[in-house]
Order: sequence, then structure tokens, then C-alpha cells
Amino acid sequence: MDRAEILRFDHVSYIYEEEEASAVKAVDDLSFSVKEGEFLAVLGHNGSGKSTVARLANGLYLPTEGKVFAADMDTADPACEIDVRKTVGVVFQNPDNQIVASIVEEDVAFGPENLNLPQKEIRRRVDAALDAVGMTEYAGHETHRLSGGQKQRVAIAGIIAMRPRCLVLDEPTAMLDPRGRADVMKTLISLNRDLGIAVVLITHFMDEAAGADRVLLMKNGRRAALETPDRIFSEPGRLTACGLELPDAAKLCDCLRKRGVKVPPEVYREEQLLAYLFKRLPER
Amino acid sequence: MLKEITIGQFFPGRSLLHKLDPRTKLVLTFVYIVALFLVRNFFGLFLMAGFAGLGVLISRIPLKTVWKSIRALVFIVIFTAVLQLLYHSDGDVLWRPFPGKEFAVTWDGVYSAVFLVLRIVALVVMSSLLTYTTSPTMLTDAIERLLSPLKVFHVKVHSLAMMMTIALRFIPTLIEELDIIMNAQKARGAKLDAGKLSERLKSMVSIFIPLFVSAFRRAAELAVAMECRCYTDGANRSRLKIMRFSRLDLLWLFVHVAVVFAALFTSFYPMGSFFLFQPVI
Amino acid sequence: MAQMRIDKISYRYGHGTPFEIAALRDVSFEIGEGELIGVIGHTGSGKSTLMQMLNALLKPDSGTVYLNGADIHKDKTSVYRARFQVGLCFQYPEYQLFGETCAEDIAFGPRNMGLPEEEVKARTERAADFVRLDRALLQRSPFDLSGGQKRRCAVAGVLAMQPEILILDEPTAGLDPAGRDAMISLIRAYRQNTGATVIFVTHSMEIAAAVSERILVMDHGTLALDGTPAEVFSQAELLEKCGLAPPFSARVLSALRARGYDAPDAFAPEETADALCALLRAEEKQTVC
Repeated sequence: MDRAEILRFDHVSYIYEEEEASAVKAVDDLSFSVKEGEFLAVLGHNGSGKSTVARLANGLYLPTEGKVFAADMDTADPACEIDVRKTVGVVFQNPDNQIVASIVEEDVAFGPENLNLPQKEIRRRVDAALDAVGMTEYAGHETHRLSGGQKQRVAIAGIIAMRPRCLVLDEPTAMLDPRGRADVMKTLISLNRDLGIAVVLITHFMDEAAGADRVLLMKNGRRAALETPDRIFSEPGRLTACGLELPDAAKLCDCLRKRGVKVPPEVYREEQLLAYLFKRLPER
Repeated sequence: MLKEITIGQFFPGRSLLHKLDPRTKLVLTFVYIVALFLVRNFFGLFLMAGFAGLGVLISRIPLKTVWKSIRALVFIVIFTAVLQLLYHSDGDVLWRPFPGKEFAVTWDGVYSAVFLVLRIVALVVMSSLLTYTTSPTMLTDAIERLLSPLKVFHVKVHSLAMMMTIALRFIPTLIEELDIIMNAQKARGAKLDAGKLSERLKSMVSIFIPLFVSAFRRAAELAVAMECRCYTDGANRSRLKIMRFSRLDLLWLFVHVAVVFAALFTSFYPMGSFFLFQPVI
Repeated sequence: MAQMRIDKISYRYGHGTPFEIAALRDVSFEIGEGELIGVIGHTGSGKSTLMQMLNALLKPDSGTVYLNGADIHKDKTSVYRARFQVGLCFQYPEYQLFGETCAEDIAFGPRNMGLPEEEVKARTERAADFVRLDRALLQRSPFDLSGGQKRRCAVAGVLAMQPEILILDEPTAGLDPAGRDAMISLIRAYRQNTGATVIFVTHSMEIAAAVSERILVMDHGTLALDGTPAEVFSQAELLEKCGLAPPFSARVLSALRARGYDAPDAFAPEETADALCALLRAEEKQTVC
């Protein structure tokens, strides 16, 4: 509880005003905070306002009401703009549209170059960032020949090279195949555990949220719940009401409980369920 | 099919040509192209073409790849050659394809055709070498540096260079996308290569609208992503790769200038029959 | 006679470039009328290439594709006919929308077929109803629709051609759970209502297991496995070699089989739970005795 907050949403509302008549409240009175080094998953159906959260986090959008703080800096304060973006890095869904340069290492260098860092420091950061996402051997490759998962890892490296303390990802795996998804998830977990970077993972893949420290459940721009994953996944009714469903393992746990099997409440992940079943059913 | 075009591509490598300062390569390629249009005789042209061939060997780009970029221009090459054969009716007659008709293929025509074809091939090879051995970012950086004096006249050199970087980065992506859209519309019966003109136009619309919509969407998303990475137009930016004019550049510059000089010298100071025929162009 | 016969087809991309790859190698199989087939395989396994072979978008380097007994590459007419008989809906089809109105876009395929205007209109409306696209939206620009509506509008564009064989390349990619379920029931309904053959490519083993009656597994350009979901997903080792893993339920049950229990094949969580309950009860009885 004594870890500092790296990102805080304070009664934030955001209204898209393309036409005044059809103003849509994408985010409605949303409050939550992310601590240094925490892994927070944000779950919600399409149009639940979860993507708007990503753009609010680093000041791309400024709240219509309420305030967003990145490491105690108000994102609406123009003097803090660059510092906010250095602190909270945002990665989007389509890796193709985040890559600026044709060569991997030149792309990763784009952020540090914009920060006008000395050449040696850029080199160090590029190498470290590529190492952190496991793409070192691709440094000299052309970006457009990489697979989707590799491209997304390059995009993440491009943000990591700016040394953010919090990484916000807006459905980073939605366009990837299972292998790419697994690689990106592995990368995120290692960035979180090994480098202590706080991760806010916005997703509609339930299994990706299973490993998070806490889960923020969103519905129609509002906060439906903010709890640990075991509590979120032990209440299937609430998820369904939000247009979501349980991850496969949790679904099976739920079915077993409904059939009177006493699966402990903290069991909701694949390996937990397997361990439980193996205990009840010893090897013959 | 679209994915097989190799002109303008970059092939990462560690050859001498890859290591040269992109500014050196850019300026020398420009000099080479100008000289190619000034050379008047076969000796000079062979010298220049041979030098382009040497460049290919040094760059270690597979000959097959170079051949592909020449092949892409095969129609222009054939067209030029045929035009030359038709155009030259003076000189010794080599062949009268239509007995009784005035038209004849002459030695002059053959010389000119060979000369022009060789010139186009040398041009393609040398300019391809530039892009084969220089990453797009380095190339646009070099253009930015070389044009930087224009800043005095308030030309936004940096913005221009950034636009070029992004254009080069997205060309392959958009080509791939074009391929997918074409196939998707063909799957719905779009007639791209046959049928009435009105049908074909309609089919073209079905391809270019999605392509433009996608390009705009990509541009909007990219702008946001660049903002997230602290990009501000015109602010001071440092660079990962610093361009340095090294001894290697000096050596290459010397060789290059020597070749061009020799080729031009023989063109403008005819030295007897040794330097062969000078085609009339 | 099989509706479609794929006879030893091979195909390579990028002839002569450093990036040449064999996309398909000597692939043969048959498709019967009214089958519901799921195609799985990791990226680059050749599944998308294979799908483009079935409607004559690509011509195999060697081998033949027969549709109702005739070579689809016999001449230009047979190629065009194949495009309409075999409807192929690409991945992220919403990125191929172009019409001024949704109705125009959906009508593109039927118009290319040369159908009379009344028929085109009828088909457009029927297809829109089928994908549950509000009739009121038909006169709107497709670019004004929401993401899910765009996808359904694009699928309607293929359905309106009323293909005998409907192929969908990753129809659920990028959709949230609700959108995914809607797309799956749409696929099922099309087959039920028309009796058409449906082939879909997916990355999700769960969807492949739950929806299809037959599964084709592609690996490195070859057809690695072909069988019912139960047959395919019992081959855990072979699947792993193809870079795939059976659905979670199948993994749980096969892990128990490996421990010496007599566990059946099941994919739906309810069936799996039933099977597990039976095992747990049997085990309890044994320990009491």
C-alpha cells in the first residue's frame, strides 16, 4: 500500500463532440489508480470506453471533467506535456501504424531522438529496449517483413526506449495470431516483473487478465468493478452483464462448482485447476 | 506479384557500399547520372557501365536481385531500342526486313539502340545500388542534411525529410494492402483486366476507395503514435546514426570522380578511332 | 461425387527473390456438399493461400482444383463462375468497404454476376436481414457504421452472391466476445438455411472445436491432419509440432488420460465438467471402499 501512484484517474469524464447533438460520453465519472510496478488489466466490451482510457492516460485526450495525474503531473498542464508522455507510454492495437522507420533499430530510436538525447545514450537505450522485448537479433531488419507479434514488440520497444514508468496498452494483441499474442504477453510480464514497469493492459481477451494484479471492469464508460482477478472471475454473472465471458479455465471451474464439485474459490487459472484435479485424482 | 518489385528496396548488409556516408552516395549517384547523360562515346559509356557493375560486386547484392530491377523496365528498354532502329535511316544498311520498302535497319540505328539501352541499364543499376545499400531513414537524413542550407529561405527541410521517411516506410505496407483489396474485390467478381470500360472503372473505384480510406486511417493513427513518442515538428532531434565522412568515403569519392572524369574527357576530346563510334543522338 | 476436389496442388510465392517461400506443397483433399469445415494452422502455414486456391484467385503451380467435377482454371468463364460459386470473405473484410451506401456495397457482387436489378435488390435486402443489419442503415454510408456493423455489412456482400461454398478467413478476428458469438451463429444459420458448404479459417482452437464438424490442420504448406474435432484434438503431439495446442478442455482430459483415467473426448465446458464429475465420483467411491 505504500507504493507511490504512477497513474490516477480522478472522477474523469470524456465526451466526444463530433456533432453537438450526438455527444457521446465515452468515459463517465471514472476513478482508479495504478501503483508503481503494478499490473492492471482493463476489461470491457467494444464501446465500453476502455480505448478512451488509453488516450486519456498520457494527455492525448484531456478530460472533459475530472483530472488525470501521471506521477502527480496533471495531464492537462501544457508545461508537463513531454514529461507526461515520457512517464506514461502508450501502445496501440495496430503495430503497423505505430512504426515510423523502415529499419527496426531506427524505429526504436525515434522516441529517444525526439528527446534529443546524446547519440551514445540513444544507442544504449535502443539496445536495452530491443533486449527487453527479445528482438535484439532483428535490429537491422526491415520492419515491414516482421510478423505481427514481432512488429508489436518493436512498437513496445520504441516506447520502452523512452524509459516510461508506466506502460498503457490498448488491445495490443487484438490483431495478432496466438503465437504473436503469447510472445507479446510474455514480453509484458517480463517488463513488469524484471524492470518494474507498471502495466495497464486494456483487452477483451479474458485469459490475458488472469495474470494481472487487479482487474478494472468497465461498462458503458463507467467502472463496474476493480478487484483481484480471482474475485472478478468467481462472479460470472457480473462479467456477462458487461458483455464479457469467463476465460476457458474459469468457465470450467464454474461448471464444476455448479455440479457440486467443491473447487476452492481462489482457483480460476489453468495451472491451478489442473493442480486441483491432480490432487483429487492421483496417478493410477 | 506486386510484392516482387525490388526497385527502391533496401537490403541490409555490411559491404563497403553499405558503410559509406549516405551523403557521399547520394551526391555521387547524382553526379554519375548527370555524367551518364553527357557521355558521348562507347569508351566512356563502357567505363561508366563497368563502374556500376563493379559497384554491384562490391555491394554483394545478389545479381538476381539487380536483374529483377532491370527487368521491371524491360518495356522502356525495348521501346527505346525499337525507336532508335526506326529513327536512323542513314549509314550502312544492315538489313531490309520488307523487300521493296524504303525502311532499313542501319548500323547507325543499331549503335544508337545499344548505346541508349546500355545507358538506361547503367542508370537503373547505379540508382538501385543507392537504395539497396542505404536504409530509407539514412537516405532521408542525408537529403535533410544536404538541403539544410535551404532553411535560410524558410524551407521546412526537416518536415520534408520526415514525410519522405514515412512515405518510404509505408510504401510496402500499402502495396501489400492493395494486393489484399484487389483480391478481395476480385473474389466478389470485380473485373480488373477484362470487360467493358465502365465495369472496369467501377472495379477500380472498389479498390482505390478502400485504399485511400485505409491510408487516411493509418496516417491518423501514426500521427497519434508519433505524438506519444514525443515528436514535435521542428524541435531539435538527435540521431542514432551519425553521418561521418570517413577515409573510405574519400577513397570512393576519388575513384568515382576519376571514372567520371575519364569518361567525360574522352567524350569531349575525341582521340582518334580508338574511342570508337560516337552515336548521333 | 465430391463437390470440390483438390488434387496435389503446390504453390510458391516470390519466385526468384530472396524471399521465396513454398506456400503449398502437394495438398490433396475432397470437400463434400454441406460440410462445415474449420481450418487451423499457425501464421504462414498456407491456410490463407489454400483458401484463395478454392475460388480461383490463385492458380496452383501444379495440380488441379475441381469444382463439381470441372477444372476451375479451364478458361476465363470457369474462373469467373468459381468466384461466384465459392464466396470468399477475406480477413477484416470491413477494410474493403467502398460503396456510397451499404446497399451499393452489398450489391457489388450480385451486380458483377450480371443479375437483373430486382434480383440484386432482393438479394441485398435478404443478405442485410440475414446479418441483422438494420434496413434503415442500408441507405447510410458504410463508413458511418460501428465496427461490428461494418464487419456484418462486408459479410453480407459475400452472402448476397449466394455461394454454394462459403469461405471465411478468420471471421471473428478482432471481435469482442459478443461480436464473436454473433458471427458464429451467423455462420451456422447460413449453412442451416441454405445447405451450403461452409469453410472457415480460425486461430482459435476453441471455436474450431465448438463449431466445425471436420477440421483441416495446415502446417508448412502441407495438410497435416484431416478429421473430426475429436480425432484431430486427440493428436496433441502432432498438433504441437504444427505450433498448435488443443483447446483447454481437451488438454485437461488428455492429461487425466495420461494419469491412467478413462476420460472421454469433450470440448464444451459443460460436457467436460460432466466427464470430470463422473471421474471424481468414481474415484471417491473407490477410496471409500
